[in-house]
Amino acid sequence: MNRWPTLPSAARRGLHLIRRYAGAAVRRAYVSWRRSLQARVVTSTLLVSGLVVAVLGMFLMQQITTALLEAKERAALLQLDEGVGVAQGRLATAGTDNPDSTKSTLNGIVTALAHRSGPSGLYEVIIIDRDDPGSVGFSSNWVRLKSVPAVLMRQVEASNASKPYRTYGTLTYDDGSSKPGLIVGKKVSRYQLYYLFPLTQERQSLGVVQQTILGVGAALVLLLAAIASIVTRQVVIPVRMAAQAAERLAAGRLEERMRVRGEDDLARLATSFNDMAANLQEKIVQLQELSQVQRQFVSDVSHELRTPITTVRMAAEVLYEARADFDPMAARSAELLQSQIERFEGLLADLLEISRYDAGAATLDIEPMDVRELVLRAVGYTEDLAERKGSKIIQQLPGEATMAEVDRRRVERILRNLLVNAIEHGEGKDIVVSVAADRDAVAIAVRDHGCGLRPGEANMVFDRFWRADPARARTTGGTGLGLSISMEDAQLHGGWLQAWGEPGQGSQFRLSLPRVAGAELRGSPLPLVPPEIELQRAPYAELPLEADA
Amino acid sequence: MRLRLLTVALAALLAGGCVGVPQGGRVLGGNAGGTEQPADDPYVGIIPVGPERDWAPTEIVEGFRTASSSFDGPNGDHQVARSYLACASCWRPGVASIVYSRLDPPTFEADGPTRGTVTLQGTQLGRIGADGQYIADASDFKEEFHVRQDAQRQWRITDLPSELLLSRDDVTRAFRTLDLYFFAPDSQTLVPNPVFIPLVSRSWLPAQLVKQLIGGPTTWLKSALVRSAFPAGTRLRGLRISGGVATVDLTRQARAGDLNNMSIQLMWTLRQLREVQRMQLRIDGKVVDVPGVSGSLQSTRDWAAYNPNGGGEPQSAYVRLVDGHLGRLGTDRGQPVAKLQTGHPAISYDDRQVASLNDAADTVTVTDLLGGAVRTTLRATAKGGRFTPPSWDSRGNVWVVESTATGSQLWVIEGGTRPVTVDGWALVPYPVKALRVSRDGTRAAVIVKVDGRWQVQLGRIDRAPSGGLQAEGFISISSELESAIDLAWSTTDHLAVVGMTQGNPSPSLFDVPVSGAPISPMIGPGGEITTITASPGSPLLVTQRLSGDKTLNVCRLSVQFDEWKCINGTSNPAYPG
Repeated sequence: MNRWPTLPSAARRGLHLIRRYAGAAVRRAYVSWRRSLQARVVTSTLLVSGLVVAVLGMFLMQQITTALLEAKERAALLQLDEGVGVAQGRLATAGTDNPDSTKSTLNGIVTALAHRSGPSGLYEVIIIDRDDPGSVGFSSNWVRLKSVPAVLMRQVEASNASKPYRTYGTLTYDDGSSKPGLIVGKKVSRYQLYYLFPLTQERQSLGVVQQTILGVGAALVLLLAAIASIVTRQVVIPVRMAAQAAERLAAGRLEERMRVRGEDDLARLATSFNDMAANLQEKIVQLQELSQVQRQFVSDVSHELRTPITTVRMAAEVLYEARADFDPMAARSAELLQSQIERFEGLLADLLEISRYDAGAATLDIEPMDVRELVLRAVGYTEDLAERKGSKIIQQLPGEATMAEVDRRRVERILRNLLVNAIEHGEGKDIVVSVAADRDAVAIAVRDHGCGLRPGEANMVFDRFWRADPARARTTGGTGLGLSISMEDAQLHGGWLQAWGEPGQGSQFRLSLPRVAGAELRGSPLPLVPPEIELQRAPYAELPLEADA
Repeated sequence: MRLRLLTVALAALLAGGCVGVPQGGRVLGGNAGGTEQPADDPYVGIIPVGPERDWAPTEIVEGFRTASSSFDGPNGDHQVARSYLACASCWRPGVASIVYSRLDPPTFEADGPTRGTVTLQGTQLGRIGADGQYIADASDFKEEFHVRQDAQRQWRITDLPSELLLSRDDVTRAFRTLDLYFFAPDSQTLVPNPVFIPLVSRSWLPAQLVKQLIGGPTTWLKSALVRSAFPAGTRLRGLRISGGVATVDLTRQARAGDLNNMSIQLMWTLRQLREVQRMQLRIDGKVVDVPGVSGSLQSTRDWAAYNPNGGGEPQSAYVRLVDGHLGRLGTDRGQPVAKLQTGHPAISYDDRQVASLNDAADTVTVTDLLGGAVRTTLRATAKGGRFTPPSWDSRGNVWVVESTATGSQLWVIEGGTRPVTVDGWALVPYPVKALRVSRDGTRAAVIVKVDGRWQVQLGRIDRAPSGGLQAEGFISISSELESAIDLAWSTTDHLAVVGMTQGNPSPSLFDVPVSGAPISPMIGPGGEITTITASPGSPLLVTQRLSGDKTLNVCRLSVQFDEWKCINGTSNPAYPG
C-alpha cells in the first residue's frame, strides 16, 4: 500500500529533475548562442557542413552501390548463360521421354551447377519443371522456391528462351534464415533455370564503405567546426579584448589601452582604439581641468564678494534707515539699493550652494520628519507673497502624519522654491499643494493655473538661469537658480523632481521622496499630470521620460 | 597567391583520390579466410508441391510419391507430402524405404464412386530399414495406396504403405550414408555401422547422427555384440557446431559411462562431417575433462590409436613371384623373401606369419615368415573341396572357406596353429569364392553363389549363445553388381571389388561401400583382372592378365598420379590381413 504512491512520485521527481536539467541546458545553450559569436559560427558551420557531408555521402553511397550491383548483375548474367549452356548440353544428350530419367537429368544439372558455385557459396540454383506431379523442380542447399519472386517467374515463364531476366529479392532457406539476393532466370527449353546470388558479401562491403563514409564525414564535420572555432577565436578574442577595454574606458579608467600585436587588421583596430582613447583622455582631462577652474572661480568670486557686500549692505542699511532725511530722489535710491542688495545676497548664497553641489561637498542631514509640517511651514512662509499676488494656496494634506527621513532644511527649501515659482507664474489663480504617501514614498505636488509650459520646457525649467520668457519682468526677484538647487536637493535625497505643464492649463511640479533614506524610489504616490487634465486628455501632453508607476 | 595554393591542393587531392587497381606488385602467399568451416558438397533437393485441384487418383499417388521423397519441414516430416493425405497427422513415416530401380505407371481400381486403390509396382534394389540399415534385395514389389474422395470431391490417400518409395536418385539426393562407430566385442577396435540418415538440414544431420550413435547400433550389427560406451538412458541435450568445434551436450546419465570410450565413439563418428574438426564434451551443460586429453577440446589426434582403419601408414605388399616363391613388392620388381612356395599368400597383421594356399587350392599352410617353420597345415576335407584365399584377422586367426560346387564350410585356424570348423556358418549350402575378414574381426565379406549369381555379401562374426564362433547374418550389400570375382577391404567400410555390372560383362574395379550406397567404378589397368588386394592408406594392387599372354602381372595404383604401374612376373599380391 505504501509502496505504490512513492513509486510514481519518485518517477515524477526524476522526470521533473530531468526536465529541469534539460531546460537548464537549453537555456544555457540559448544564452551562449545569443552571447557568443564563436558558438554561433561553430554551430552554423556544423549544421551547414553536416548537411553538405550528408548529401555528399548519400550520393557517394548510391554511386558505389550502383557500381557494385551493376558488376554483380553482369557477372550473374554471364554465369546464368554458362549454366544455361550446361543445362542445354545435358538435356540434349539425355533422353527426356521417361519422367524418372528427366528428373535424374535435372537433378544432375542442378548438382553440376551447384558444384560450380564453389565452397564459398557463390550462388544457389533452382530449376523448375512444371510437368512433374508432386514437385516443381530442384533447388540447391535448401533454398526455398519462394525466393524467386512471382513476378520474375511469370516473366521468365512467358518469355522466349533467349532472354534472361533479373530482379532483387530475398533468399529464404528451409531453416528459416534469409538474406538479400540477386535472382536471375532464363528459360531452357521447357524448364526455367534460376541463379540466386546471395548479396551478403556486397552488403558487407557496402557496410564497410558506409561506415568509412560515416566516419570520414563525421571527422570532416568536426574538423570544419574546429577550424571555424579556431578562426573565430582568433577574431573574437581581440574583439572581446577591445570590448573589455572599451567597457573599462567607459567606467572611467581612461588609462586603459589595448595591446597591439602584429600588423594585421586587428592590430590596426587596436591602434585606432588606443589613439581614440588617448584623444578622449586628453579632452576629458582638459575639460575636467577647465570645469574645475570655473567652479573654483565661481566659488572664489562668491566668497570674495561676500565681505564687500556685507559692508555695502551695512552701509545701505544705514542709508535706508536715514532715508527720511533725504530728498525724495535719494530716498528712492536708498530703497532701491536696499532691495537690490538683498537680491544680490540671495544670488550669492545660491551661487555658493550650487558651487558646493558642483564640488560634491553637499551632505544630507537626515531626520524623520512629518512632511505635512514641512509643507505647512513653507506655505506659511509664502502666504504673504501669495496674498500680494492675489493667489490662494489650497492645501490637500492627508489626515495622518506622513513621516519620511529627509533633510528638513533642503526639503523646505525645495517647497519654498516650488511655491514661490507657482505664485510667480500663477497669474493670481489658486495654487494647490497636495501631499500623498504610500508604503515606500511620499510625494508633494504643487499645481498652479498660470500660463503653463510649452512643449519641451518641462525639462528646461531646471536648467540654471533658465527663464520661460526672457523679456518678462522679474517681479519677485528670483535668482534663476532656485529650481536647479531644488533639483540637486531632490537628487541628493534619491528622489525625483518633475514638472508638467501645458499652455493655458497651468503647470504642476511634483517632488517624490523615498520614505527611508537611501532606498530606491520606484514610483510616486501622486500622478505627475493632474487628474482633471488626465481625464480630458489633451492631444499632446508633456509626458515625463520615466513612466509613472 | 591564394588561388595558386588552392589549385595545388586541388591537384594533389585529385591525384590522391584517383581510382586505380594495382597492375603489379609483390607476390603474396594466399590464405583464403573463413575456410575453418569447409562447406560440404552442395545439397540438391527436390522442391515438393501439394496436389492441384481435380487430380486423378493416379496423379495424386504419383505426386505424393515424388513429394514424399523430400524430407522438408522442420524435422524432415514431409510437410508438403502430407497435403496429399486425408489425415495429415496420421502418417508417421521413418526412414524405412523401398529403393526401386524401375517403377511401372500406377494403376487405379475403383471400389465405388468415391473409393479406390492405386497400385504401384516395379523392381526394387533393396530396402532401408527403420534404423537406417540398408539391405540389398533385388526383387519385384507391389504397394497399394487406398484413396477416397473428400467433401470437395478431391482424391486423397487414406491408407498407404509404411515405407517410402524412393528411386535410387532420390536416395542419393535425400540421404547421407554415415558410419556410427562402436567397439568390437572383445577389443578396443572401432567397428563402423553404416546408416542412411535423411538430409533434413545442415544442422539437423549432426544431431541426428549423434542421437543414432547414442541410440546404439542397427539391429543387424547389434547381433554382433558390439559395445557402446553410452549408458542406457543417455540422451543428447544439444549439439552446436561452430568454427569447426562440435559441442556435444549429453544428459547426466552419461556420467556413469567411460568418458574416454564415449569420446572416442563421438569423435570418430562426428569426424565424418567435414565441418567438425574438434569436439568438446559436456554432460548436463558442464564441460567435462576427459582423461588423456589436454584442455577441453579434443581432436582425432587424441584418439589416433583407435583409428578404425589402423594407423593408415603404407603397408609392405607381398606377392607370388613367377617361380612360385613368396616375394616382397618393390618399386619396380618383386624381391624374394623366403624360399616358400605359395599360391595365394596371406600375411598376418604382425608381419610374422604367412598363410599360403597351394596352387591346387586344397591345402592351407601357415608358416613363420622368418625361418620358414611350418606351424600347421589344413587339407581339404570334402571331395573336390577348394579353399578360398586365406584371410587374417587382427587377433592372429586365419579364416578360410572350403567350398565345393554345392556347399561350403568355414575354417578358422586359431592363433595360426589350431584349425577348427566354425559350426555357425550360415552359407553352408552355397559355394563361396572369396572371404575377407574385416580388420576389426566382426564382419566378413564374401563372394557367394546364390541363385546362380556370385554376390557380394556381408556377414557378422560373433559367438553363438553356445559359446562357439559363428558367421551368420549375411546380407547382400549391392544389387548393382551382377557378378563378382574377388574382393578386399579397402577401408573399414569400403570394399574394393572386381566384378561385372549389368550390361558390362568384362570384369572391372568397383568401390563398394558396405553401407549399400551406390557403387562407383574405378579405372583399372586394362586386361583381365583376377585378384585384388587393398589396405587403408596403401596403393591398390591387382593381378592382371593381358589377353594372349600367359604371364600375370601385379599392377599398382599410384596414389599420387592416379595411374597404374604393372610389375612383370608377379601375381596374387597381399597386404597384411
